Amino acid sequence: MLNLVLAEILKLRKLRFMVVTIFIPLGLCAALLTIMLLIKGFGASYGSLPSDPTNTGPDLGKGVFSFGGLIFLNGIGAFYAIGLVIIGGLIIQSEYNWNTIKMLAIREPSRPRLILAKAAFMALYTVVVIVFLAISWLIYSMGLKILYDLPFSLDESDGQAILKGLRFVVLAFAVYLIWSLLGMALAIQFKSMVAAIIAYLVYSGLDGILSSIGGSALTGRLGTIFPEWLDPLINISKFVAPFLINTSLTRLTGQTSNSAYVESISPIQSLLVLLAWGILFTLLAVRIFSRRDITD
Amino acid sequence: MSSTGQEPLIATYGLTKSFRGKLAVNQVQFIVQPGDVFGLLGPNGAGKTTIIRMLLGLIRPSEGRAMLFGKDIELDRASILRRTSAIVEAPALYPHLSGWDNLRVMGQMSGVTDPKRLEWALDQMGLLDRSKDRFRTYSLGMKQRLCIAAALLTDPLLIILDEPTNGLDPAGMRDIRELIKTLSAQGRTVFLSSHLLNEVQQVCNRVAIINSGTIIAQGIVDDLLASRSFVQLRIHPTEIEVALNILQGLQWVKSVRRENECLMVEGPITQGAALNRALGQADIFASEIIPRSISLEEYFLSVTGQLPADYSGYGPPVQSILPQEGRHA
Repeated sequence: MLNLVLAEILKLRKLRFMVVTIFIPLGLCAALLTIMLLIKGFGASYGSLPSDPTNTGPDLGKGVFSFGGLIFLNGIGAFYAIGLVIIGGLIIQSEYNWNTIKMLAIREPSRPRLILAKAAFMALYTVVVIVFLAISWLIYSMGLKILYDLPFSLDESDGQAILKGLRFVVLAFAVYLIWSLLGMALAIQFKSMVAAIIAYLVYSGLDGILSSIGGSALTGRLGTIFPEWLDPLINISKFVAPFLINTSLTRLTGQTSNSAYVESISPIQSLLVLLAWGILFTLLAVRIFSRRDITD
Repeated sequence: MSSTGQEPLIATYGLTKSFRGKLAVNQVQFIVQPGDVFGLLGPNGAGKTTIIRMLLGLIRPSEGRAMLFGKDIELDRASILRRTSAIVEAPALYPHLSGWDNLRVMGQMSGVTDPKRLEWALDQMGLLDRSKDRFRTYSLGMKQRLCIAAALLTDPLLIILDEPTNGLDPAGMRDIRELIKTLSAQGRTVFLSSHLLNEVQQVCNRVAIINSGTIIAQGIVDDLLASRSFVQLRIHPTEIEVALNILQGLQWVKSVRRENECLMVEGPITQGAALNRALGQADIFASEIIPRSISLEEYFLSVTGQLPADYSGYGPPVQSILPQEGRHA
């Protein structure tokens, strides 16, 4: 299995888009800090940091690391949700485009192992992306201390914000990885990136809607008076929400002020739900690929 | 076991594949013995690649079985593919990687990581000096050779090549031909598909001819060609009936036909002198004795019914030799 993962690394490490995707946060960090420092150099003042920049989003703590986290981990990081789905689909579709899929399938390793190796590669790639994103976030946040004329040393709230930020980025990217595994399965099924992305958007959108409605209904914070005929949908959402990806992520990283934050769901359950979806999508990809005639 | 007592390296039994109800391969049966250079011949679209895909487990047969090394590819895929390498259709590797890196990837997949083995494979294919260049910059012939180098990494006993000379120039074709002979000399069994009959005749010892998904003839090349070879005798018109009777009485003559002033004697072309002797004993002397052997291309055209209407060089069709052992009910 290790050989297969190494083979994936060997073949994909020289693809430009794979490398660029990793370094985008560092580039943005450098660009943002340079521009902001230049503006400050021209005499502009940034005033003071928002006291609680993330009161409706994920729980990223307080201070510059929270503000930086909002921009990098929650903002730029969010693009990786679709980015990793595209990469997951691409590493499958490219094998079809290059006609190498049959070269792989006629080697000794079984088809399930080939797909598991690709899934393992995606997990490794996600870890690398997390590391570079986190480094960019930390550098940017330290830069903010200079821009806002704050002491360069780390205080207790900085420490908490860093820990919360790291927790958020790891869990958020675990979810992006889960979506990328779905992207891989869909790319095998449709042999088309576009179809895979559309199917992913529909699926994740449905998960998001049901999570939002179900979570809010479970916490009694639905916020809108719905017509009666929507009651069955609300009831279904309440039932399935604890087993959905977005509900689990909100439970693990969200703030209690978030209307879909369901405190009654245990964090362990949410982690297990995410793990189950990851395994399910991987098995789906394995099953589709194992049963498919390779005629390309 | 086959009639030779040797277990076939490849044996297919009633191999059938249909795509959306359309029959692509129909009840295909053939055997390949260890050490054979086996050619699967047929026009484009005849079903050659579909058969190869079934042999390699890329697609599942609708019916029948493909046995390699005595094992069913559906059931013992890993142990079969451990000893088999193949190139299916066009040579395909990673275009953005160098030849060396491509071999590293393929080697990693098969657990072959020794750089010396990679160098050896590249050297065998004459690609060592281009190993740092990207695959996309290679000519078709070089791509083909790199894929074969990748195939050799695992030291396979069986090599399956699908249309290996497709798109190659004459020099490239000659290289591949030589390569196949080398592989065979190394004791490997080679299975190749082609529609280039002259190429196949030069390298294969055993062939099967497929048309519209059905095997229509198969056997050892020399036997197949000998089955359609004949000796043409020109006899004086007044003696031709007597000569006909004499020749029909000879044990090794399969058939005799009259065409104008000539007799076409189907049988081993090495028997010209014996024919002449038999006729001479009856005071009949042929003015011409012409041994006529046919090419694989002529044989192919004859069994696929593609000979021109005015072609007169052949006798009646000879029944092909089909494997009977292990046939499914």
